[in-house]
Amino acid sequence: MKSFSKEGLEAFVNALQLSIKTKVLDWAIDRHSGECYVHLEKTKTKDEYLALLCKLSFVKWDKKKNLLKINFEHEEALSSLTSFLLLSRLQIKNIQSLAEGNVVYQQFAQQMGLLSHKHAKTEVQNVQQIMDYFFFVMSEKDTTFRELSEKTGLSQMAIHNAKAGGDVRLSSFLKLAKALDVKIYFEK
Amino acid sequence: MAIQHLKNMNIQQLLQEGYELPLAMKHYPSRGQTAVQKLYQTKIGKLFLKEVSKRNHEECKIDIVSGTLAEREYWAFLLAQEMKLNVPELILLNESTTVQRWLDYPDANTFMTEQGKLTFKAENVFECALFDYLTGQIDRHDANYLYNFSDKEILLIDSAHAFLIFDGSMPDYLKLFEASNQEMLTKKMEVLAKRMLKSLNTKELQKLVPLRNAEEGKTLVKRYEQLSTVKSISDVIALYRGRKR
Repeated sequence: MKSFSKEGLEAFVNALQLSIKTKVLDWAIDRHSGECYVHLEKTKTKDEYLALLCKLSFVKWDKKKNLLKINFEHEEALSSLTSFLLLSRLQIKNIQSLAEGNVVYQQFAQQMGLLSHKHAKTEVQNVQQIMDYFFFVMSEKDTTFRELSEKTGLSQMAIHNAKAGGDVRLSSFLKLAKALDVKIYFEK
Repeated sequence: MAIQHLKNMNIQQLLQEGYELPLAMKHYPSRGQTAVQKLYQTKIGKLFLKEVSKRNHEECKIDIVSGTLAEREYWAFLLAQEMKLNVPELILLNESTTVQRWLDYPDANTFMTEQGKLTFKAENVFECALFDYLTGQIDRHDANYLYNFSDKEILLIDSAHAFLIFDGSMPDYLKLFEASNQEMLTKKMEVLAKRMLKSLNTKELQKLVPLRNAEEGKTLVKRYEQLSTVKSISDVIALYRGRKR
């Protein structure tokens, strides 16, 4: 059972409507799977913003049913996409600007084909930025805290603390990166 | 493709042929000054309709005889256009209703909540501050300007609370800029908005902003004259604080 707040879901649907042309009619969520279903109005108008959104790996568009399926594995994925929509409105220039300073948005931009090369890089400024990215990858890979704990040898509590913004030992950081298949590069 | 101007279009027809997006407006609840606000998807893009009521004017102590909130917003748009400021195109549908193009940028409040602090361009802030001081804007809080974070520029919206006889309050962005860009405050700047203002005379100004209350008209001219010697952002701040420069 996922713990999505009603306000969080409503904020997402409102941000979605703000960003796409097609009218949202109704929506629902399966709290077990984290799948959000958004029923859209049937229209002949071309919606380039909806098309762009559907390039995200966790968004599927059922044309026959006019149904958008968005798979939110964790509440973080929901809040990340809501913020992304509120800020970018799915405008290409906005998306590319957001991708410059945020690793999660960089993933979105990459999936939308809006980054010039596959291995786009971001200058890391703080621990929270790294953790945001790690837990975004974790939700993308559908990895649970238990699985991550088993893979890294770190306790679930330590991983939760890291997620909450606590400082992380360098050895723990490297274990998390390895378990999530995130590569770290240095540049002089 | 050439831009189609709203003033040359049948807006009622455009809105009728389009459709309303009520869910999208949930992020923009009316703060009491607007009776009706609706966002429409139309064939020329999103259009935002705002209608004010008599009660809105009473609560905000606006002299309807001199100019309704809708008229004031329209005149503010004309003046901004004259100063070559980048503001959304707006038309007056009737004395209490405006329709404007919707710009897809977050407001400053949303940006700061979701992303972090604003980075400013001094020239852009100076131009906006000249406009807000001239119009005596009293409602420039952080949801009344947009932030184009790609170009690091702010765009003024919702300028209806303008042209009153009492002094405007310092805009939110000016307070932020003052706190974070000390070294730029006294920099003398030649900006287009200032040049455009200079090329106006008071008669042209009053034609653009035809306030029907003589006191409000005089106040506008006084503010216009005060701006004639302004050269930097700190000069505008000094005017807000009532200091001689």
